[in-house]
Amino acid sequence: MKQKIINPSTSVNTATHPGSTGYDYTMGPQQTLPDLPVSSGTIAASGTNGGSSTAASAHTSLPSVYNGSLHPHAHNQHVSLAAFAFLFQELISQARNASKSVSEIEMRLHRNGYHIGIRLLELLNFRSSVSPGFGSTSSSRAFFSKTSINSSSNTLALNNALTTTQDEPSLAQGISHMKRRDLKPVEILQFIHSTVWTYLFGRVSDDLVKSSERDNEYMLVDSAPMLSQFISSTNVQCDFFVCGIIEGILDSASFPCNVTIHSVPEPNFQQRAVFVVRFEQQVLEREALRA
Amino acid sequence: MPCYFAIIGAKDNPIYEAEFTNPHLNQFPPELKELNPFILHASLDILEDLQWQTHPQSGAHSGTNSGFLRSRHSSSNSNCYLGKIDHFYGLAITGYLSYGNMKFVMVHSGNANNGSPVVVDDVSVKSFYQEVHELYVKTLMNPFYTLNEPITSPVFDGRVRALAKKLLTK
Amino acid sequence: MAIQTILVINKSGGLVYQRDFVPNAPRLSSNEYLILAGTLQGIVAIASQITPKSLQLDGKSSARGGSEPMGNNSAPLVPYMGTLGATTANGAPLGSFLGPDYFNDAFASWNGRGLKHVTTDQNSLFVYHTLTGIKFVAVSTQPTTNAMAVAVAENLLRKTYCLYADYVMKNPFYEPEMPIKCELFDQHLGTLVKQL
Repeated sequence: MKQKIINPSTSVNTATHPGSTGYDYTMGPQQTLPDLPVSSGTIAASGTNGGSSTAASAHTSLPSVYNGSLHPHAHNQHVSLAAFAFLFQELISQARNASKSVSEIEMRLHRNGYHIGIRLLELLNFRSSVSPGFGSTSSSRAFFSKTSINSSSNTLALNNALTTTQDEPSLAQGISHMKRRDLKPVEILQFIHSTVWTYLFGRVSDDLVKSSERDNEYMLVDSAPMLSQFISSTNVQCDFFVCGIIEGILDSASFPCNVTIHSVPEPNFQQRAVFVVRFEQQVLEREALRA
Repeated sequence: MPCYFAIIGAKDNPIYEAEFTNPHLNQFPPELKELNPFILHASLDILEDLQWQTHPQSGAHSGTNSGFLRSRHSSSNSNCYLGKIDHFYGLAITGYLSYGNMKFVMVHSGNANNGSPVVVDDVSVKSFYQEVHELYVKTLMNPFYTLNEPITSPVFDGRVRALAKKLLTK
Repeated sequence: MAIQTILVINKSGGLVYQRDFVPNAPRLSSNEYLILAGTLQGIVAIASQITPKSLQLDGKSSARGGSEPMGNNSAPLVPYMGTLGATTANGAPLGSFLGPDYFNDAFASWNGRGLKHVTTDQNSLFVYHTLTGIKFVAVSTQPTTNAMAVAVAENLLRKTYCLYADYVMKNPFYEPEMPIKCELFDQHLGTLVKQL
């Protein structure tokens, strides 16, 4: 993106680029809608931009992220904790080998989590918009299995991309109204406290408190952090990974903040961790404007 | 009716744009086609204003003058679909916000270029936005896609256009 | 009878973990423990060589098939032996083991042809062998030849192995084959032995 020069959209004639597929930001928007099905025999439509649309239909038969479903039942909902623990271990070792200091390891873990966070925000909110019953019947669940989608698109790929899109039940069809966007810090923290925590760790987090000393500070308490439960380490806080997830969620929801972790052992919960969320000043200012 | 659709990232950078026209019937006139991105970006101010309002769509009832900017679609509590947010010489602009504050905006043009105001069919436009939102979430699930980068996938392009054909251009 | 010492010996015969559980008992110096570990490693290797062929075949078939859990070489389950009972009661999972106990079946012993049990006048020594060659050794305070005691020790050491899998192998700061310095392993092993 940084190297390419963006040309004005209309100065390039799309017909001179017949091989182009998808959106090209150096060319601007393309004009036509996908061609009508080949079987119905519209010859005129293949004139202007035929290259683009046939390429698109050929691509639908390939496995792609767009063929999968976002429905929670479309995939196995659980991951083996042991398998994840080993993966997480490798992640930490990698960060450790590449870093020179403890804070650098933590920063790397934080960055890894951040990219999960920005995705979780969209995914979980979108999922919770879908009405509960949608897609839970056995007939429609059959649609969600990847094989049936792939086989149907393979047979139809010669016809056109449009037919397959209509066959597939998209999750958006099951939405009567979208879940509200979270506009207040408390709302989005509640979302993390309940929805995100349940998705990640199978339970809600143990507490969500507002700091009494500072206005912009909130604390999420987890008495037994799941990811670091096997790790006995005093100097590196492996839960910075989770900090990264939280910060990714808040950042992409436009609540710029800084998340740190402090371990606060209690007699019953040796590994009790407190995630401290410090919002930046602009969040408070925005809140003050609306009030 | 021809439409110009764009997804605007968090840094006000376009990450996807498309024109939905029908080669047989109507297209944007060339002089307007150049202007589309400008019209669309001009409405971002209003969009960002609505972004942090608790009830972005209820303004149609409370204010006397502010109502003309918004469509009458205020029944639901949802604040993702913002309805008609702006207009420009007979073109209507609708907006939608994703949870990560990606801005989905679209310029609607009338069938005849006589300057009569465009009637936006809220139901189908809303479901178009929701479908595109789902596609966007799927794009984001791709580990090789980074936030705020242009979406260049031909499959995404094809699907959005298919949706537009189904829901927008009647 | 109580557990006096638990040792973990890695596959090349090095002592990677040693812990005493009886505070006032006379203890060996760390050098002597290293020698003990090396000697045990050698004896286990020799024992596996001098095991009669018939026993080896028997051991192999039961270890491979696993169809007859109460066969010659399998250890019976001693239920809830040294479970971390307190944590089970309030529903906290046992590390990555989701059930009420680490395992709930009789298990085939992998120690088909090596050394399992040594008794002297003063104490008994139990060896648990893993497929990867790690040996868990428990030393009791009194000598015993009781079959029940052997079964209990086998169960205890297998649970120690489970703890090892969780808190040692899943710790990114542990380097394989090196001495174990994991606080959580210490802690959980302490609870396990205390609840015996």
